[in-house]
Amino acid sequence: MAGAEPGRAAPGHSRAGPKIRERSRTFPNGAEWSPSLSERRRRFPNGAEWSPSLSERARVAVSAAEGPCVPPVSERGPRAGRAVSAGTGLWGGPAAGSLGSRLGRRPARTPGSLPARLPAGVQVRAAPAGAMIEVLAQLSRGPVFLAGEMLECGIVFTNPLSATSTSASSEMLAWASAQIHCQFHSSENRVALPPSDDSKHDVQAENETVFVPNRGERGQCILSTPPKILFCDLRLDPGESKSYSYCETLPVDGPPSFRGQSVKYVYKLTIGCQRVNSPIKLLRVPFRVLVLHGLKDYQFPQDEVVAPSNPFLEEEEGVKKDSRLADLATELLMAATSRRSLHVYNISNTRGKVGMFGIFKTVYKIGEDILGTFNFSEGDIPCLQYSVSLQTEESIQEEFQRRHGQPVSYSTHARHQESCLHTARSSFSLPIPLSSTPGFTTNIVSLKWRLHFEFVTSRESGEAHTVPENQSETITWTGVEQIEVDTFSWDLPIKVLPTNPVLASYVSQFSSTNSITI
Amino acid sequence: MYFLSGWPKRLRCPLETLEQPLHIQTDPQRAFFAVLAPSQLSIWYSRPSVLIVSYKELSKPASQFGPYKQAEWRPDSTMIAVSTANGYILFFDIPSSRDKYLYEPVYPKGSPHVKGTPRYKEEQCAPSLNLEMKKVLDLQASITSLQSMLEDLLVATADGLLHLIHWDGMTNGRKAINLSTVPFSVDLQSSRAGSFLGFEDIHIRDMEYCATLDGFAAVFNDGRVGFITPISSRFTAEQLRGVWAQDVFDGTCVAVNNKYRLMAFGCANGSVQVYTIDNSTGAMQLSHKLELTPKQYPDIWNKTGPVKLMRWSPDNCVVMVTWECGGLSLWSVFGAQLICTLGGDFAYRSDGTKKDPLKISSMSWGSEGYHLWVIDGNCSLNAGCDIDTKNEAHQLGILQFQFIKSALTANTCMSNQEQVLLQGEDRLYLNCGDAAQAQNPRSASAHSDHKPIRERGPFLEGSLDSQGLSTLLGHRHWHVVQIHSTYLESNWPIRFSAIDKLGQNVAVVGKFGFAHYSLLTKKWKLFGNITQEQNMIVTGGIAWWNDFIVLACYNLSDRQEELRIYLRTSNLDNAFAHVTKVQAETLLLSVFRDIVILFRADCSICLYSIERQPDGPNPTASIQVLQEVSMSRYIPHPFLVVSVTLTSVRTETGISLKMPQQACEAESIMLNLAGQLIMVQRDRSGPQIREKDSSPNQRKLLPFCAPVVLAQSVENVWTTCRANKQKRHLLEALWLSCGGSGMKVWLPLFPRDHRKPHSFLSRRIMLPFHINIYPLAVLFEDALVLGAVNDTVLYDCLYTHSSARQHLEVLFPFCIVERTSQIYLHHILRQLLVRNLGEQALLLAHSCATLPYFPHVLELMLHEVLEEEATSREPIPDPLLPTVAKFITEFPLFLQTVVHCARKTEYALWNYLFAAVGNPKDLFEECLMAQDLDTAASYLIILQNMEVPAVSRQHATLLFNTALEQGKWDLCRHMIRFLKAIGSGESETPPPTPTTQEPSSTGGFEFFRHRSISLSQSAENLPANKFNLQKTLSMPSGPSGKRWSKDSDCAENMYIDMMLWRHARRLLEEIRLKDLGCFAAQLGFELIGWLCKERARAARVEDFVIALKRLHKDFLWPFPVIPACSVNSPFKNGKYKTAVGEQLLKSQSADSFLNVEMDTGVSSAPQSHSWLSTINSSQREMDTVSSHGPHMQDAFLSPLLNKGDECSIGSATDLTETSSIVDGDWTMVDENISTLSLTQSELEHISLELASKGPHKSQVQLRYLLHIFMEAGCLDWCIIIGLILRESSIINQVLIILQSSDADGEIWQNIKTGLHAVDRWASTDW
Repeated sequence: MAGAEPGRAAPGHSRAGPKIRERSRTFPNGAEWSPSLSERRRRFPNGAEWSPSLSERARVAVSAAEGPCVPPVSERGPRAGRAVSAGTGLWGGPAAGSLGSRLGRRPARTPGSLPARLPAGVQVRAAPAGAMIEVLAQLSRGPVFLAGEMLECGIVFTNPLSATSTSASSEMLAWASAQIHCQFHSSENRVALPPSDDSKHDVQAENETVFVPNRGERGQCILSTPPKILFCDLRLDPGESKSYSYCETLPVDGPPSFRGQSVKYVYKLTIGCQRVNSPIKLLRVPFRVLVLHGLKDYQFPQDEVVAPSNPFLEEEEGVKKDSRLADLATELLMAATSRRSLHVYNISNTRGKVGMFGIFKTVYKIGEDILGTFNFSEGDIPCLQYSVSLQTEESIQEEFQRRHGQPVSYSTHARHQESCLHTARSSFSLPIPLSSTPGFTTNIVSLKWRLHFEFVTSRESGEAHTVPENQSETITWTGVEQIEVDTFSWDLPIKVLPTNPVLASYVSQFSSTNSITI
Repeated sequence: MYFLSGWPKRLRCPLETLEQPLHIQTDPQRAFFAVLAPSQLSIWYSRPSVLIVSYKELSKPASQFGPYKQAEWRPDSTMIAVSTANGYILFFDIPSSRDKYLYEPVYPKGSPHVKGTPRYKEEQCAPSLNLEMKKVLDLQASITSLQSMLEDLLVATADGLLHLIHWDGMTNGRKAINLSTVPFSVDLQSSRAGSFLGFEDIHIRDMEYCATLDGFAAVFNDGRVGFITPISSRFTAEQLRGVWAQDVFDGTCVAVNNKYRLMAFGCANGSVQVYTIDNSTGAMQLSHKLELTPKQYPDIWNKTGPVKLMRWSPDNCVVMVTWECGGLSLWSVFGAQLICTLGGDFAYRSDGTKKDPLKISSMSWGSEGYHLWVIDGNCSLNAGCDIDTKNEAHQLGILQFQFIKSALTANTCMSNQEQVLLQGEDRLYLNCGDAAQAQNPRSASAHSDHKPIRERGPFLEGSLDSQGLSTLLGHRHWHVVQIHSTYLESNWPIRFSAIDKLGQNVAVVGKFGFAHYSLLTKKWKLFGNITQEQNMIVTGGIAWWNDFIVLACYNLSDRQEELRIYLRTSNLDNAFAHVTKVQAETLLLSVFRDIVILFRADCSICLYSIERQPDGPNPTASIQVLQEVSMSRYIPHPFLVVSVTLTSVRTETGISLKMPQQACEAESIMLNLAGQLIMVQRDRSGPQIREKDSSPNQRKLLPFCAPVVLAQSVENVWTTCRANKQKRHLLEALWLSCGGSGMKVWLPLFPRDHRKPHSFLSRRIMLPFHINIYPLAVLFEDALVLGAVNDTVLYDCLYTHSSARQHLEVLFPFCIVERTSQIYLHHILRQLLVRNLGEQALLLAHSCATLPYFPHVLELMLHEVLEEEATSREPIPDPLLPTVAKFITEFPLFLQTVVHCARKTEYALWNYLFAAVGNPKDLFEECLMAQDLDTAASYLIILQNMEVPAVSRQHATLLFNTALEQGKWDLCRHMIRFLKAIGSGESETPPPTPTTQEPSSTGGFEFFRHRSISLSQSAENLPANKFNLQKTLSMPSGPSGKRWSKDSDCAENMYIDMMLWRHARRLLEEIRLKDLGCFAAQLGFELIGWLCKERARAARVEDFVIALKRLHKDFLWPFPVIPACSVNSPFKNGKYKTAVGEQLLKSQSADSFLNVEMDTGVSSAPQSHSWLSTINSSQREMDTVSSHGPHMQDAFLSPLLNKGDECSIGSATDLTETSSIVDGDWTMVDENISTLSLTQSELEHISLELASKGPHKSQVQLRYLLHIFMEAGCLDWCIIIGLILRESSIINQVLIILQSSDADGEIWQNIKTGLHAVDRWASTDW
């Protein structure tokens, strides 16, 4: 029955849809863990004896994860540990494709074949016959967030109703837990990191039964939020599905998502879940984080002033706060990028003046177009061709450089080239890709934006050929075949800031829906 | 469609000359531009835009010839004819020196820029040309028009002659035709009886040859316009016939559209009349007009002067028009206006002053229509006076305007797509969100089976739809893809572009070969082998089929026409392509499901089936011919076919109803023949092949019927191959864009049930509707049209100093293209209603009712009908409004729709509206009944203006009370304002009560205006308003409280206050403290003062137990948890007792003060002994009830309460099993003294805290209430809150107050009995 009937599976999933109907019973306000603690207490009143039934073993891991980023109490028996380490290997199996693992690099979509048969987002993979639970995680607002914003992810667990299955039975999930983490990866050739303190290794070494979100990931986990438990002991009847909502505020001072040539910062939401008597499975939901520096300082300065002293007034405050962060960011960005003023630059080389370049602002948001104008009519040196490249400059901070004085790496995001020999005035517009990373600095790397100009200019000054008024014979003027040229370049630094995350979601390479089958 | 982009570019002439250009003419290949100055002929290259050669006439012959006037290229671009003012024609040879190129840059040695590419010069340099004057011809009359016609040059002179000059022989072939000998009539049928021109001095002012009509359109010097065509193949005077356009007498110029067979005549009044030739009679038929409307261009529409010039774009999709006074305007082929530079930012500076419009003396389109070369007439005027710098003299009056065009203009197979794709010279613009959309389940499947492409669960419909929509419409951002420079440099210009169904991949076609790009990986794929690329010329367009790229091309090396299929994922190489030979050149290509449709130059349509080969490492697709259909009988010239596509559309919908699976089949060919939409349907009349034994191939071999003309003036056609049972109307319809006349939909009509359709019901209906945007894509299920529109940004304010006046950035705004979308459903619904097809309208509307903007659709429909019918001057015999109203009642949004519509229309129309939809009073009551208070509030405003004040007051009160009851605070605030406004308005100026019949009383109208504005404003400024409110109202005793009391002399305020009091009293009596708190906070109700007044009445607690329970419930406050009592598990109890005991001791000692206080308080009061029997017990009592605080003395008594709680809730379960009991153990652990409970981990703390304490917010609220009650002296309430918060300090405080103040005994007594009751309840109720 496994993997059959994807068409039937679809409604089961979709029932959860983008809206999470049923919130976790364990998270009455979306965050706190409350009532089902009691269950746990019942079972190990003070951590005393317990009967190692399989389901309960799983629960141990839960209780462990529940503390703020704390390694679990756990490790109740050798069997449990064994099971999970086996799972690590297993994990690379069929599910790995959808996990978008490996520093968020999307696996090449095998177009036509798989998604062709299934509605996207509901991807059923081969699972052991007779048992499967589909886990589908969806970032309802899209996969791009501003640091400091609340990330909300709807997670749907479905026991797909399969018609072919004769032994349609309930499925049990022992627990599920979710955590956000940021992986840092750097190129060996360029970045020399101080020896790491191996904190994560300790955790892993101690107990492998544990939900370690970055297990199997490259690089270091430089940032993680406390894990949150979605549920324990979830029972799903055939065709039944349950939805949970995971909410977490993204750290405001983390690095932005970035994939450079030397350094990568990748954010992921990892949902770990475990079936009874099975290894832990991880569902990864990569997403993108934009950082607006200085937002932290601006964060709700008016909050204190406006904060209603009457407690009955603050009903919707919590909901609003998040959208206000985005609004505030949008406002700040607007203020920073909307002002226009003309900056004019004289372009000249050793031989003389080539022309003028005008640009209307130097601070942009991603997704905007950079406009520039050229005026060659007042130049003395003819310019055959110019090109403008929008580039980022990725430089490793000195103390982390592998080699002293290693060159910074440039990447070009947009380019405009034009022949301008007989052009008086021209202009260009370069789009700043919405998917590019705005400028930022961390203690390891800094990313700066610039416009890189290259000019091809004539060596002879452009004396206009005069046509005498009263010539004695007809004159046919033809252009010269060859022009001796010089090339020279110029850089103009610009600032590129993030934009509204919702806008950036539209072109994100991440899917906002991810799923696995366990 | 075409959109202006950016700023124009200005060229500069390397030659210093004082002569300004006056005429520009491109060669037929649009690679060269001939620019004429009075005595100078220059040739420019298109890319790069450089001057190649310039010829300057000697002054002596120049004065003999007179200034140059016009130029015309020989079709093979080897010769130019230039006419001069004195009647000469100068023929120039253009010998090109092969393999010589100009302006090749020579880099210094060692420079990294040395180009290694072999074709560099061809791609980047201009070819070297020369100009030699070959021949001078004197025609002895001034030349008015010069026209290249096949191998001849047609010259019209002012003496009424038409000279036909052969390009080769020049003098040999010279013939002259006297126009006066050509017979003219209104059509060709009556040509025998045609008259002659009749005037001796008549001559042609302007003319243009139209190859597809085989004749030339001419404007005569008297303003008449006509069409002259040879009857036979010979072009002699005897064989020529002329046709008049009957109603044009002020023609100035003409431009001919070969593809659509249109003749556009510019007129002196500034309008353009576009004519076509009636096929049967040969008469000239007005197709449409291009006119500026006074609505859009109020200050210029009739002041443009005569039309000066018109130029059709190379693909014949748009025409550029300019007038004597200047300005550019762009129109689609059938008259949709796209751009006009006579208004907006083009005409006005940012400071509001008017600019001089750009005067254009000549213009010419560049290759593929990406550029328009324009000779700036202003420049030549200025050149003389502006001699301030030598640089200005360089300034050449040639401007290049840049355009972005829709991919549909060239690649019509794109019309099955739901994306908007625009192509610019070097970049593509996609509507953003495509990638996200593709990842949505809504458009997942790209597989070719007959499953609907969009697979959606039924319950996903609404939510996902809107989500998908928001990605499509939420913003106006374009996804810009720059075309790979390597491909672009060698293959400029881009001719075709296509996007796949999911919007994830695009392909572009340039001069040679093609390239494609993935939006997901952001990578281009080019041919690895450049020779392969350079050996193919794509001819018919390009299309995506799943992962494959389908294109028709000419193979240069094998010299044959081919149909090729490339796989996207494999390398771009012919080795991975599937190639099929094609008999003739392919003109058009499109894909329907897994059928490829080719339209070939031999006028036949060929259908191929395309099939994916079993997956190997490199899957391929194979192609098979299915059917060939010759259309040569119906198509006069293959060039006339604009688009060809297969659709599932057919006329007999009855069949598809019975067999819905057939609805998706390829049923008919849609052919756009020069704007005429022709449907060729499969012939099912013959013997039907039975379903069983029909293999797919046989099925496809059904012959086609004779063509049927569906519509005229069609620019684009959209159909979908998807099927959706829910939205059959929209999906099986055929959508047409018809230029200036908007859009049309050919809608299928379905019988309501499956019974036989009524015979009189035609099965499809063509409904025209107007939209304000130029449609580029139709979203079928979403009932939306996507489009794009030009927008402008002014930068002139940034240039302050005067020398910048000539800057292009000052002269022109920066042009951008914005995405737009439009809903059209209301038009269609209305049209259906007009045609008495209400049932169909209902079916259609119901299928769309889940769309997020459906309410808006209804509202728009009602509004439009109302505006039209109510403002009509003559009585309408058969008004539509009642029908529309009845229609809307079918939907639950009826009440809302009506009132929204009403509020957006003038008061004067209300009576008309409500006469149709019903009495507003009834509607108001319906709203109340439906609990739709906001809508009811809207009706109130209507009532206020249509009814006497008493009625509206009465209704307002009703609504106010309901709103209070439901806690709709915003509404309450509005209602308070409203009621007060009624009051004040009344008392001062009793409004002339507008009778319900007559809206004539202006007084009432004014009154209404005033009111509605104030109210609606407040509604709009809600956020700000609320902010203020929050600020002021947060302190009940603050200014807002005073406001109420200050104004209370007003009777109206009194009335409101009464209602507020009443409500507060009710809340308090019903022990709804939380609601009371919200109520007071939200409405700024002065709680303390009121409570003081009510202290002895409503604010008395009648039943402590109920109050306690109710408060616990309202504030989500858990009942105190208890250690399992000895009865249940003595062991456990004992075990933990000790631990808690220590704790107890500690905190007790810390709080000794408190205990003492309490003791005194209690002892001084006449308390019952049972309760006070021991200090211990009293302590325990206190603690259990108010256990939460930092002091945890209370563990002992609480089991009672807890039990009671459980019983009362009715959730009694096995005690040993209930978790709450167990949790209770842990409540005793004080979080502050965690050191004591070392054995217990943090987890337990958390659980303790959470289990015994309510939400933080509740706590704050309770404390707030406590404070209020304390202030107001409602001590019994204080006690209760104290109990709930489990804080003995509160109780103490109350007792102190009781003791110290001369509290009246009644309260005292009440508290006492109340506490007794609680005690009793706690001890018994378990």
